[in-house]
Formats: sequence, structure tokens, C-alpha cells
Amino acid sequence: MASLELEEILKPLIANPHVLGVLVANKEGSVIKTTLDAVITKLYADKLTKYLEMTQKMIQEIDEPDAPQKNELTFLRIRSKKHEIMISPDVTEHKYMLMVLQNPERKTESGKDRI
Amino acid sequence: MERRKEELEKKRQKLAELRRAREERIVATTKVQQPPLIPLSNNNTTAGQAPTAERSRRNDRNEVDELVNSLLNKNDKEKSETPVTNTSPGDSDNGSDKGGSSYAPSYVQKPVLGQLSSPVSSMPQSPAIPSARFIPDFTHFETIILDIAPKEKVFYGKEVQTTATSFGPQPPSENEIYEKVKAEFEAEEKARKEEEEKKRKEELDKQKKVQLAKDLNDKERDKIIHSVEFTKFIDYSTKVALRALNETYDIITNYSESADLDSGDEDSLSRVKLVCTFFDDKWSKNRSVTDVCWSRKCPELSIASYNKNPMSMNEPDGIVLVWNIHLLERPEFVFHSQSDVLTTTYSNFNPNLIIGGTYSGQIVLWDTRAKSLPVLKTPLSSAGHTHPVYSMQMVGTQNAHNLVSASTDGLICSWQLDMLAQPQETLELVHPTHAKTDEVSVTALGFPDNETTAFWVGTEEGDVYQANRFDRAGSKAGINQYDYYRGHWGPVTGLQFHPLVGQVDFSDLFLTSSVDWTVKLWRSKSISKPANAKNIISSLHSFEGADDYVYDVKWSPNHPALFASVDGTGKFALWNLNSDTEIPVVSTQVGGGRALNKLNWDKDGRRVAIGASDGRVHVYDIGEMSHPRPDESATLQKIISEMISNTESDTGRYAAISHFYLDKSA
Repeated sequence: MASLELEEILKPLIANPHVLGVLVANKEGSVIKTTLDAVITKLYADKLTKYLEMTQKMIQEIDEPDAPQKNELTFLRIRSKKHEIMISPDVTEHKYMLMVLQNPERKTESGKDRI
Repeated sequence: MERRKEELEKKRQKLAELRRAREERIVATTKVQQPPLIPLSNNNTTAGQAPTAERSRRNDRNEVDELVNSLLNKNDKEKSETPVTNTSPGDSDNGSDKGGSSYAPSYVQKPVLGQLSSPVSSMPQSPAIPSARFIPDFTHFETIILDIAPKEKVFYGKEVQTTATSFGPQPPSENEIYEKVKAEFEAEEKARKEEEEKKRKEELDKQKKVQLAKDLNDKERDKIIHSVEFTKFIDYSTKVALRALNETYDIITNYSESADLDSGDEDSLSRVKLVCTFFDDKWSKNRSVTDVCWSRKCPELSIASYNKNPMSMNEPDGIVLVWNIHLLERPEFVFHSQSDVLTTTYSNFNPNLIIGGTYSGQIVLWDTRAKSLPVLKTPLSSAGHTHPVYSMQMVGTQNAHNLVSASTDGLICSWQLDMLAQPQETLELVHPTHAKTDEVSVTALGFPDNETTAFWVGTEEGDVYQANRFDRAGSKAGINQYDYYRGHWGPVTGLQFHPLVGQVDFSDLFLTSSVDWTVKLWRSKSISKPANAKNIISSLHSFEGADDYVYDVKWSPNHPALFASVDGTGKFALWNLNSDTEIPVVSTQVGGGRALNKLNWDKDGRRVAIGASDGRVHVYDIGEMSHPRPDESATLQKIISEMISNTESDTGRYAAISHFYLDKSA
């Protein structure tokens, strides 16, 4: 995949009127792609990678120890008054994460044009 | 010994008394020698004493002095002997010696501090006192009084014993336990602290590492972006995020809060609602939708096949996109084909498999678990199709099913899905009475429900024929050349049998659409009684609501009397035979007025996917109309029987009229 393709694949996400920002980083918090400004990006990348790691650990720890299949974090949504943070972790290689920052206030018109 | 001590004490007291007396006397004599001082110096002497009395007293005093001196000398001698007599048999007790020497406050002359052996160093001078009586030789010297505390004597009585000591391990005392616990606790604490420290260090190291990995340069970033795993990750995770974004319901909605009053939804008045439109700039642009199909397993998924994009030669000619109702921005999957895909369907028995019929005649099979290229495809050889495949259908059951496909040269092939190298059987449809060629150009194909052998085909010239896959009692494999279902004056674009819904069996009814602007309802003749002579069967009813080519018609899978059609003006029409046979119950303009190529109902008959020639797939929700009333089947039966009788009388009248005209012209 070239970086142009990456842009292409992220376009529908960024174009969504509710989306405030998109951030792609590896698990160490190094930014691969971002639409947020540098300071916020660094802040989010820093905090979220740690948070994600903690959550992943937690999910594994609360899993039944003798379960035939290991549990794993697949998606993370955090709702706050100002934002909704959606984190999609790398479920196969555990190397990357995609963060979408969304405005949680959805007005009815978004629903109207769909249904 | 006690007694001796007492004696010594007494002697010492006596000595002290004497000494005091002598001193007084000395003071007195000095007083005598210096008469003017008398009254002041001595308290004992009265101021007004006669000099005679004074003299006599002095004599007395002399006597006393002598006596004292003699005594003193004697005492002095005795005293000087004491160090020597320490070892004498009388002083055999060890303790007394020490005690004795330490009891007496010793007068030590400062210059001769070390000479303790002469306990009273001033004493030797005392005998000189009488001789120099009147010139007392006062010398000034400092004395230091050493008061050494007596050593405590310890006596052991018979009853005093040493404390009993037991051999072997001693039971730990409370103190010991406390100490031990404390020590253990401290050790633990220490270990814990160390552990913490270690952890913190590790954390720090990690952070440092993170800090180090923080800034990627462009090269590193490019490397990541180009890696396969990243591609996989980004492809999947963006899909998930988009699906999440497309969820319109706000789970945090608080209904107890005041809400804005929504002015009545106009959409609910018109009875079909556009749910969504699928379009992808990259894949759908400049292409037309050739077919649409819903997944049986996942009701939110639908597939659409596309023809080639004339603007972009690098892209594959034919594609199939899998769309998700919850993911509008991009397709879930993209499947490629080397040739335009004209028709596509999900395998009813394996939800992962998608089948496509192509312009080149190949049947291709894709798997959603695999990549975008087909996992299997039929060879381009005379064994299979070599003409475009516009129609195919899965027939059979879970355990025994085939794919039957028809190409425009009249070749019918049936395939086993896991072995596409070669068709299981082929059947060439030929019609010997055909005007110029004996070919039957098949554009549409339909099997009645639960039927695997007999099928009906719609052809390019407009006739519909019945055909058999196998030889059967009374009928041969191939086309039934006597039965003509005549009515359409243009190519048949769609053909579908009534699905089994409701209590009454309508499986002999089928609908066809054609470019002659009509949709026709037919009643199929029983295959058990094949005709022996040319037999023209006319349609039960013709629906002429369209103003353009009708491209597709499909029965609702849930409502016995409901069907939908799409036409070239972009109209989507819903017909309900029970309410009206002349005009559709709903007719909606879809999209921008471009021709609509195909439509398909979802499993519950609630949603319709419509493929347009501008590459868009529109999904409509038909709402309440999808639910049949309980008497729907009975009503339909009545209407159908009416139609049948009308048709029969019509054909009679038609025949009579034609005869009349023929007679007239003759």
C-alpha cells in the first residue's frame, strides 16, 4: 500500500461530518498518520497507546484462565460529553491502532438522509 | 570488725574534737598576745576579764596543750603505723583494709598528690606547733577531697542459686516472636520496595524506548505503510470504524430530557423509503450495475456485479462489490474478474461463496475468506459457455445442489461448485422450427420453487419456452418445442416463478419483464402433459404501467400478491395484485433518473436493492406493505382464477374477431 492509498482508504472516515480527527499510530505511540494538529496528536497518541495496552491486559486478565480461546480486545469506544473516541486495535498483529475522534452530538438530520 | 570500726570512729571523733579545741586555743593565745583584739577575736572570753585570770588560764591551757600534744603524738605514731599494720594478723579481713582506707577522707597536699601512703601529711607539723606557739606558721595549701563511693559488697547466701538453664531449643518468648515478625515484615517490605523500584525502572526504560520511537521519519513511516500487515490492519479497522460511525442511534440518548418536537416525518407518508445508496468513487464510477443479490446468511450484506469501466483500462473489467447496510462509504469486499460480470448470486448453501456469470462465458467463484481474485473459474473452452451468461440459478438442496447457467447461444450447463473445471452436464437448447437459426438465445432463466428438472427460459425474440434438464417419462431433455408462451414483442429481461408463500400454492405462476415496456404474468402448463402440436399460451395479465423498457421483475418473498419492477426511466414500481392490477401501488423515481437494471428483495421481503446503470445501488425499505394480511392468498387465488377465465374468453373473442376479419377480407 502506498501512502496515497492510505489517504484514499481514510478519506471516507475523514469526510464524515461527525468525525473531528483520525489518527493512526503504532503500539509505541509513534504516529503514522494524523489529521489532528501536532500537540493534540502527541497527547492522544501518548495517552491512548498506554490506555489501549492497559485495556488489552485487563481483558486478558479477566478472561477465564482455562477458556479454549483467549479473549482479546477488538474495539474500544469511549463516550464523553465532548467527544467519542473510537479505537480499533490491530487484532492480528497487535502492532497498530486506529483512533477516530467523533462528535457525539448527532442531530436527527444525519438519520433523516439515511432512513 | 563492727566494733573496731566503731572504735575507730570514736577515736576519730575525739581527735576532731581535740583539734577543734586546739584551734580555739590558738586563737585564744593570739588574742592574748594582741590584747586590743581580744574582745573581737574570741567569743568564749569575756571582754572584761582580769589579766590575772588571763594568766592563770594561760597556765591551764599550757597544761592542757601539753597533754593534748602528748596524746596527739601518740595518736600520730599510731596512725603512721596503720599502713604497716594492714598486713597484721589482727586485720586479716580483706574487705576491712579497703574499706578502712577509703572511709577516711584523706587530706592530700597538692604538691605531693601521689603520696597517699601518709594519710595525714599535715600531722608531722603539729608537734612543731607548741614550739612556735606564738608565731603560727600558716601555710596556704589547697586540698582536694576525693569522695570515693564504697564498693557494693555482694553476699551470697545458701538459698541464692543461679537461674535454671534448660538445654535444647528454648520456646521463643513473646518478644522474640515480635522481633522475628518485625524482621520478616521488614524483609518483605524491602523486597517489595525493590520490586517496585525495578518495575519503575523498567517502566522508565520502556518510556525511554517509547520516547525514542516517538518520531518516525518518512522512510520508516513509508516502510510501515507498505507492509502487508499494516494494509490488512488499516483495511479492517477503517471498516469497523465506519460501521460504528454509520450507527445513527445515539446510545446516550436521555429521553427524560426535553426533546425538540420533530415535525411529522413526511417520509412515512410515502410508503417506500430510501435506506441508503451504495457508491464508491473508485469502483462504481463509470460502471453499471448488472445484478444485485442479498446474502441469506447476513441480511445486511448485498452484492452487486458491475460491467467494465471504459475510462480505466488498468482496472479489471468486471467486479463484484459486497456492500454492507452499515458501511456506506466503501464496499466490504471487492472481487475482480477479467470479464464483465453480468449476473451474480450468493451460494445459498455456503455464505462465503459468491458466484458470477461473465460476458466471456466463464463462471467465476469468489470466497470472502480469500483475496479479491476468484478462487475458482470455469475454463474458456467448448466444454463450457463461450457466450455471455446472463442468467443462472442455484437449484437443489443443501446436500445435492447445482448451479444451472444459461448463455445466449442456448447452452445450459450445470455445475458442481467445488469443481468448476468441467460442467456436470450440458444441454443445448435448439428449436427446429425457428425461423432462421435453430438457436434459442436465452436471456432469462427460471426454475419453479422446489423444481430441479423443468425450467423456463426467456429468449431474445420474446418467447418463453419450457425445457427439461433430463429425459423424463413422456418428455425428452431439452426444449419443449410445442409450447409457446407468446406475448412479449421484445427480448425478455427477467423471469421469475412465484415463491412459495402463504397457504395456497402459486408455484405455477411466473412473471416476465421485457423491453416491450410490459410485465406479464403467466400460468405455466403442467409439464406432465406435454403438447403434441403447436400450442400458443398467452399471458394471464399484462402490466403496462411502464413508459420504457422494463428491465427486471421480482416477486416479494413474503407477500403472495406483491411484486416489484424497475424500468429504463428510473422508476421503481410496486404492484399488489390484490389491490390493483392496472397501476402500481407505489411508483417511485429512483436516483437521478438513470435506467435501473436489476432489483432484488432481501430475505424478509422488507428491503429492495436496486442496481442502476450509473453504478449506484439503492436500497429501499417498503415498510408496512411487506406484511401480508391473512386473507391475501385467498384474495389472490380469486383474482387469478378471474384472470384465467378472462384470458380464456379473451382468446375466444380474439379468435372470433380474427375469424371475422379474415372472413371480411376474404
